[in-house]
Order: sequence, then structure tokens, then C-alpha cells
Amino acid sequence: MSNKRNHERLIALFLLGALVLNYPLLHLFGAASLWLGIPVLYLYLFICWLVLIVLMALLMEGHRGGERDTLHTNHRGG
Amino acid sequence: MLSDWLILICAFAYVGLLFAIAFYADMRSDAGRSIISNPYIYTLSIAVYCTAWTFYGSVGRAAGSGIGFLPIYFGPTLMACLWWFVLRKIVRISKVHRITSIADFIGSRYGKSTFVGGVVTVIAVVGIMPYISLQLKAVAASYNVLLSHPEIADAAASQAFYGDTALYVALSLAAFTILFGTRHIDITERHEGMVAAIAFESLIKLIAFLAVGLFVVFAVFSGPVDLFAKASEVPEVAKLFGFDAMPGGYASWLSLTFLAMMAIMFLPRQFQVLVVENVNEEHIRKASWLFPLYLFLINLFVLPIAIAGLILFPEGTVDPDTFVLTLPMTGNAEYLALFAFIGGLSAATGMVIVATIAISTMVCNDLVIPFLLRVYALHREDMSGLLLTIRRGAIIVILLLGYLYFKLIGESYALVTIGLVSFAAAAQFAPPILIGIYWKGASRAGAIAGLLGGFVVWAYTLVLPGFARSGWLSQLFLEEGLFGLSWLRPYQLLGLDLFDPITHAVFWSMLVNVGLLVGVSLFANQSAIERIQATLFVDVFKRGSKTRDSRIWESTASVAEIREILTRFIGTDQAVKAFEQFGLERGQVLRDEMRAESALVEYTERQLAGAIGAASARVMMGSVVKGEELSIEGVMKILDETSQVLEYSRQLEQKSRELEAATGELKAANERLKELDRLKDEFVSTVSHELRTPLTSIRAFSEILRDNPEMMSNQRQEYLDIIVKESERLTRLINEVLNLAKIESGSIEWDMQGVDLRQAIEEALVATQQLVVESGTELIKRMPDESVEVTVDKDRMIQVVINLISNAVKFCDGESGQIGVRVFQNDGMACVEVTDNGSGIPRGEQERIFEKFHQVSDAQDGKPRGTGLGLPICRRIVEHHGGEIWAESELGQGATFIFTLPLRAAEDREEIARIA
Repeated sequence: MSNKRNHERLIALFLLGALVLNYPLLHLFGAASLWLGIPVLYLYLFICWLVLIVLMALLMEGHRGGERDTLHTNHRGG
Repeated sequence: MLSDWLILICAFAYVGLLFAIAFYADMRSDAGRSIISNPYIYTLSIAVYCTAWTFYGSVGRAAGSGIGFLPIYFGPTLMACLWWFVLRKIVRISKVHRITSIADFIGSRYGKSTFVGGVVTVIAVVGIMPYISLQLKAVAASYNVLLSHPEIADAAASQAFYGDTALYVALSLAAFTILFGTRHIDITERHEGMVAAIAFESLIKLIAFLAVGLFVVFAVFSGPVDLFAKASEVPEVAKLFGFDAMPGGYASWLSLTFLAMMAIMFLPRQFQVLVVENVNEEHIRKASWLFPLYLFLINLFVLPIAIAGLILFPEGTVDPDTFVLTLPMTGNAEYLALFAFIGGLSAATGMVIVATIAISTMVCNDLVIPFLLRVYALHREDMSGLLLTIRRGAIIVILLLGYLYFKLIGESYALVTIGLVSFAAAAQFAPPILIGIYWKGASRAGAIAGLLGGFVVWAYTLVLPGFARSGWLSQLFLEEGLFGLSWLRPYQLLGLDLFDPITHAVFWSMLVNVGLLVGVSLFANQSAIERIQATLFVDVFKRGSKTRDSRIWESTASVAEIREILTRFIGTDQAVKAFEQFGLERGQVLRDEMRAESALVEYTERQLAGAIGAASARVMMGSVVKGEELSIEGVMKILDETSQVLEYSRQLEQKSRELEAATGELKAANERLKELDRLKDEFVSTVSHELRTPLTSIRAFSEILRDNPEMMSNQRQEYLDIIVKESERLTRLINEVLNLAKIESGSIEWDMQGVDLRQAIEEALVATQQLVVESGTELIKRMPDESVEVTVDKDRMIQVVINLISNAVKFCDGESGQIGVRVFQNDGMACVEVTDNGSGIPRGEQERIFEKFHQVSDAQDGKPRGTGLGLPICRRIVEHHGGEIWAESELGQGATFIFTLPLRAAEDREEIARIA
């Protein structure tokens, strides 16, 4: 159950990544301007990238934690 | 100023260190304590994706297009989201089928086809050429830059070949790779030492690049804000901040992302580290976010370094591809530059080692061995030596081809552009793999058509134009198309002029590849082995890892012969070990002279597949095993027939079970019929007997009267009385027989009505009053005060009571006889009790008296007193009304007959009262 749900989350994450890193959302930040001294486009892309990685890590590692818990519970139960 | 010997010493010392790491890892692996079996080493080995292209080329790309270098790293990041499904499935399949390379994978999927494997290998060799030339160019150029700074290095390709750095780089890389990757043939085709070394290289190149980045941003400039502020003062540089700097716009961005998504999985070297060298599927979990993180870090300073280079060097004086080296040198950090050179060397050597090992394996297993197997049977003693020779030769040839490509084309393009050509070639493998592992219908013919079609389009739209631009083909080819046909212009095929060359090539080659794969598959017939392999691949998770090989060998070869084949390819030690393993798993001792069972042949084929690829192993076993390989069609047919026979026999069993049941029923029915027949016979004979008795006496007395006319009148009177009596009895008997027959056949009509039982009893008593009085018996009746309502056929109920009373009269002793009739209610039933103080009924007879014609013989005169039908009739009538009748008696103590009837429910009564 939670396994299947996690699969759906992974696919959603893929779609989210494909969305934010492409036209037309990319176009919103496409201007050659600076924000806080950093080029806006550069900042946007790297922040999106980092967020994707963090979400991926949460999905992958959080899920495994859950598996361990169930395994543990099963052992206790058995 | 760095001296050339210092650079060379550092380079060779570094390579020596790599050898030490590889050697240590192999040693640990042999001891069974792998150092690479963890997700971190796995992630770092995947980072072989970052080559000299990333290390030098990204900066060059960024200097020209701003963020244009990023799609190459976003693609893998997005793909990593899907690794848990796609990559894990490919890894599982490869482990089950002992896949050794991407060519092996595709060939195996499409019916263990050597032809498909060969096509993939050719595409891989041709496609990888630009990529290897890129590494050679990068290493040679970086060495020259380092050596000749501050002068601008000569273009590497313009030197004479003996003074050409790139040639020496190619040769030393070949030697390096041979030492690394082809020390012995392993049945698992995994290279732990190599993986450890490239993981270390990935670490070095990351640290080196970050060091340069930090140096540039924080030492040369004072932080990123300062850097970008200075950059925005130069209009040429400032425009790199926006998306408009990206050539090809959003379409190119999308196509590069797509290419990178495919490349991260299907470049032969990525397949090697991701799939073949994978130790544990679970490592994919951590790698799917750690690897994107690695990419993130190594790309963080690309744009800053590029911008810094553009600010510090006047336009055109320094090649942007060398900024990573020239910036530290300009900043007087020569040792940092040397470190950066080592980092670049790491990036290049890592890629070259893995790529050439992967491709040499493919060339050996999927091109040369099948060819040799076809040309002449391989019966040399030591095949493993031959295999190694083939692979070493392949490595040298591949690197020299890469060098050749570099000499022919290399100087005309930037690093990234060269690399993208290889990416587009690797993308051709994506449709047959991705479609092949999810769609069983993808056929061998479709895969071949798709691969060849995509490859031709790729070569026509990317490789040939490269030759044209380098002056090896006429420029007219680019501008006017082949044979002057404008719709054949390689950059605007069919006049499509929307895209840049890469996007254009990706679009057309993917369209042709996928289109042919799907289109041909839809109309091609799959052979049996294709269907089997397709099912095994697509359903790999449903079958678990214990999937048996799909074919059945009918072998007559001995165990020793089978072992000899394996020995020839993987050496004695490993072959013996493999056979011991098999014996242990199966719990049996393999003696040399034993006939090799099919399981052993299959097992050997799988081991062999690890060394020479699935398709070659199949051909090999087929040519050596003496027995016949049952044709796949044969096996399928046998399976089909067997399952059909099983189905038939199952149906037959069911039918026969049904028949048995029916027979049982028939038997029972027959028994019942026989019993009924016997009963009928008995009934008829009894009835005849019963009828004959009175008839006989009537006839006898009548004859006496006829023959003796002068008989005494009182005697005559006596005889006549007897005749009348017997006639009455006869009539009664016939009436009762008819009555009973009617009841039993169900043809009687019941006139059911609500009755007060007391009233019915009174009527019966009136009817029998004469009889009772005549016999001199005393009758006592006890009735309840309130009415006892029942729904009965009143006349028949009266008949029951009459029967019981006349019965009682018969068994009573005249004057002293007492008959009691009682009506009462008990437990929702109306009860009628008729008692007498006659001779009683023996316990054994109490049930039998209700059978037809059963009569209790009178102990006194031995003559039956009734018809033997009264009580059976009573029982039928009572039972029809839903009641019961039985007798209670002690011998000599009189008898009690009791029958019950269901009381009419109160609401019925009310309803009737309302209607009334």
C-alpha cells in the first residue's frame, strides 16, 4: 500500500521536475537580471534542482525507514 | 611555470595510485569482503557520467550559452526519479539472465539474437568514437595548455603524429585499460577493481573542480556578488545571464534534457556501471538522490568560472574549454592548476576505461565470438586466452579509432558538441530497451528495423555533416543535400528547418527508431524464443529471481564434456568451482561419466553467458552438446499439447465423477422401485388373500344352503347371518382398500375446514354408539370445556376416531371392557387419546400395527379381527394433517392410541371470525 503510494509520489516528482525545469515556467525567470547580486535564472534553476534532490532523498530514505519499522514490528509480533 | 617532467610524474603517480586502489579492491573482492558493495561507491561510479566534457567542456559551453550546459545534468536528475522502476527492472533482468553489456541485453531480449547484439555493438562502437576523441582532445589540450602557458597552446591536431600528445594519450590509455579491465575472464563479468578506481576518480574530479571554483570566486574575485556585478558591466557577458543566450531556445533545451535522460541509462559505460557492476538493487535507492547531488555540486561553479574567464581574458585569446586550467595559472596558483589537470585526467580516464571495457566486451561477445562460432567450431584448449586477446585488441582498436576521429574532425568542434553526437547515438538504444521491457509485442524484426533506421538517420544528420564541415566531404553536401536534392539536406531533412542540428537529429532518429520498432512489431510474427524472452523480461518481477532458463536441452553429453566447455572459456579453477557450486545447490555429486542432465546444461549456459554473452553461449552450447536441442516450436507444442491433454483429462474426470453420482442416484432409485414393486406384490397378494377368506366362507355356506334344502330353519338362519356378516366384511375391506389407494396416490380430495375437534369426536361417538352398546363395553369420555379448533377434513377425522374406537371395542373383553376417549391440548397441539383395557400390544408390534395388513393375532382364537387396513389409513390421514399417531401399551394392561393435530393459530381464527 505505502509502497504503491511511494511509487506514485516518485512519478509525480518526475513530472514536477520536468515541469519546473522547462518552458513555459522557465520563461518566467528567463530575463538577464540579477536578484541579490545573483542572476535570477541561475538562482531559480539551482534552487529547483536542490529542492528536487531533497524531495527525492526524503521519498527514498523516508520510505526505507518505514519498511524497517514494519519489519521490526513483524519480528516483535512473530 | 610547470616543467613537463613534473606534470608527467604527477600524472603517472596518479595512475599508479589508481592501480593500487584497483588491486586492493580486487584482493578484497577475492577474499569475499568487497569494498565496493555500498551505495556510496555505487553513486561515485555512476559519476563516470561526468567526463572531460563536464570538467572542461561545460565551462566552454557556459561561456557561449550561459545556462546551456545544464540540461545535460537535469536529464539524469529527472531520470533518477524513475530509476526505482526502470533501472531496478533492468538490473533484475540482467542479474537473472547474466547480462554482460547493453548489446547482450538487447540481443537477449529479442530472442537471444546474435544479429541484434551485433547491430547494437556496431552502433555503440561508431557512436562512442566521438566521445573517446573528446577525452583524447581534452587530455592532450590540457597538457599542452599547462606546458606552454602563458603562450597559447598550439592546436593539438595540427602537430605531426609522432609529436602528437593525443596519440600518446590514446596509447597510454589503451595500456592502462588493458591492465585494468582484461586481467582475467570472470563469469560474472564484474570488475570490482575498476569500479573502486573510477569511484576514487569521481571523488578527485569533484574536489578538483570545486577547488578551482572556490579559488576563482573567492580568491580571484571577492565572492559571487562581486563576480556577477563585474560581469554585468560587460554587456557581452551580462547577456549570458538570460535564457536568450541558449542557442536553439526551448526546443534545444528540451531535446538536450531528453538526450541526457537517455544517455545516463544507455551509454554503454553507464549501462556497465549502473547495471552490470551493480552489486545490490537496494543501492539504487540512495544513488537516485546522491547522484543528482553530485551533479549539482560539480555544476555549481561552472557558470562563475566561465564568466570569470570571459571577464579576465579578452575575447578569443583563450579557448573557454581551458578556463579551468588557465584561470588558476593566471592567478599564480600553478599547483592548483596541476591539481585541476589531475582532476581533468580523472574525468577523462574514468570515462575511457569504463567505455572501452564495456565496448570491448560487446565487440568480443556479440561480434567476434558469434562470427568465429559460425566460421569454424572453437575447439582450442584455452578459450579464455583467446577471449582476452580479442578484448585487448578491441580496446586498442577503439582508442585508435577515437584518435582517428579526433584527427579528422576534432578541431572543428567544441567538446560538448562532439559529446552530444555520442549521446544521440546512445539514445538509439532507448526504444528497444524501454519498450522491450514493458511491451511483450516488441519483436526482433522491429528492433532491428528501429535500430538500423535510427542509426542511419543519426549518421546522416550528425556524423556526415561533421565530415563535411571538417573538409573531408564537399560543403555542398551540407548546403544542397545529397545529389543536390534539397529535401535531403542533413540539417534540414524534408525541409524541416525549425531546430538546431542536435535537436533535428534527435527528432528524426527517434521518430524513425520508435516508429519502425512499433510499426514492424505490430505486423511481424514473433518466433517462440522471442515470445519466451519477451515474457521473461517484461514479467521479471512476477517470476522472482529463480526464473528457469526457457529452453530444454535434450543432452547426451557427459558431465566431463560439459565442464570442459566451461573450462575452455573461463579457466579450470573457475569451472571446477562453478560445478561444485551447482552440486552443492542441487545436493548431488557430479561424476564425470554421468550424463549431463538438462539443468546442468542450462546452468553451464548461464555461466558461459556471463563470459561470452547470452547469444554466443547459446550457439556454443548448441554446437557442442551432442544431443539435440529440442526446437522451441517443439517445446511449445509439447507444452501446448500437454496442457490440452491435462485439460481434457480434467474434464473427463469431472464427467466420470458426474456419471458416478448419477449412477448412484439411479441405483438408489432402482432400489426404491424394487422395494415398491415388492411392496405392491405383497399388497396384492395380501389383498387377494384377505378378499378370498370372506369369499370362501360366503361360498361355502351358500353351497351348503343350496345342497341341503331341508335344513333346519334355525340353522339356515345362522348360516345366512354368517353370509351377511362376511359380505359386510368384504364390502368394508374393499372400501378400505380403495380408500387407502386413493390416499396414497394423492387423488383424494381433502375438504379442509375449521372444526371444533370436540364436535367431530361427538359425531364419531354417535356413529359407534351402537357398536359399543352391543359389545357391552363401557365408554368414558373426557372433553375440555373450551373448543379445540383445528383445520381438518372433518369426515376423515371422524373416520380416524371411528377406526380407533372400533379397534378398541374389538380388543376389549365384552362386559368388563372399558374404553376412554380424551381430548386435550398439549404444547400447541390438539391431542386425542383412545384407551382400552384389552389384551394390549406387544412392544415389538406397536409400530408394525400401522403397516398395511399387519394384524396382531389374537392369542385367544388365533383369528384376525380386522381388515388390517384401519390403522394404516388412520396414520395416512393424521400425517396428512401434519400430526402424528402412535400406540402406547403394556401387554395385558390395555393399549392407548394417541394422535395429535396442529391447533389452528389464533390469528387464523380471528380472520375467519372477521370474515364471518
